Amino acid sequence: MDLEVLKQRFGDELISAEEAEGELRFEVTPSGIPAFCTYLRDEAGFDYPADLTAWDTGEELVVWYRLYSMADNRTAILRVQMSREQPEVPSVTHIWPGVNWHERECFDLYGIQFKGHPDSGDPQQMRILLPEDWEGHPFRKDYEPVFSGDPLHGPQETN
Amino acid sequence: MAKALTQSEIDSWRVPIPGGAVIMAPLDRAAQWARKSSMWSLTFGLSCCAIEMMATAAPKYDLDRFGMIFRATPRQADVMIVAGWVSVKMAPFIKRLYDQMPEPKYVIAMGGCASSGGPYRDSITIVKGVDHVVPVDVYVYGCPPRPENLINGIVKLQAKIMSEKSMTRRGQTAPPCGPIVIN
Repeated sequence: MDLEVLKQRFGDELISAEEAEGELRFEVTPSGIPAFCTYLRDEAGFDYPADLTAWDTGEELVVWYRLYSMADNRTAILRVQMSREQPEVPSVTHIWPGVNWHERECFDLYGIQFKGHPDSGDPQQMRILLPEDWEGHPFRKDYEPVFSGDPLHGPQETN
Repeated sequence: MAKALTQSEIDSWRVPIPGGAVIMAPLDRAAQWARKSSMWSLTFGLSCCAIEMMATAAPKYDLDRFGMIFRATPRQADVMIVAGWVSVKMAPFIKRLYDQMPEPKYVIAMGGCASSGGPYRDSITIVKGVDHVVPVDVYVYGCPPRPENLINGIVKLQAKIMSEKSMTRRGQTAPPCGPIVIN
């Protein structure tokens, strides 16, 4: 895989591409995710989505894709950065169906909207770990729980 | 606890009838004995305490000695052993399962998490003890409790059953004694 050819092919959507410590590292814009992931699966052979997770840096939200190629024994890491105000990224469930629950978990805990996810229309259905009626996304650094005092509903007060 | 029967009491209830003899006992006591000897429990393992609960039911400790058989449906269960932490998401289902159990029903909170939240007390998603959701009869301490300690709690629950009035439902009258804390 020639990284320079890749940069020419994807243009501004591929912010950076490097090979370090035996793995490929890419940074992609949110809008470039569907095309780039389709390329990685169909042409570069990354058929196994090992992990999809998110991170709150304090300023931005970051989504990580960890991909693995069974044929080449090779790992690629994708990084997508987005603003806290509008955390939206296209879903890749149509490329790798296995990331479905990972994307739901990222929505549940970080509030990242995955456009095109099968459950993305309904926030209650999109939640996976927390109760359906939970408010807020607790892994965000600015999350403030609102205590209801009800043991069957909402955050529980700590003491 | 109800006092044990003396031989003279038993003799006083013996009613001679032609052709045989019958021993009569107070109905309360007969019902208590029947209940405590066959406490079928609801399979309700929530986390690591469930492993100790399974070990208690396994041959080495053999919970069957107490007439306890794990049932997978609340309709056939008398005792709910809440083994593990209760999350906010799980709490409504515990309440529903408890409501589905037939009277008389008892709850054992097994371990620190079910009793008070345990090491997860500082988490906003953990209920601070299952007694916020359902009434608890016996709290068993430990993290997780050893099978011996769970059996201790079961014996304490049997003693509590023996001290109850048999023909009252929970909520109709005040319970005859408070929850038992084992330590």
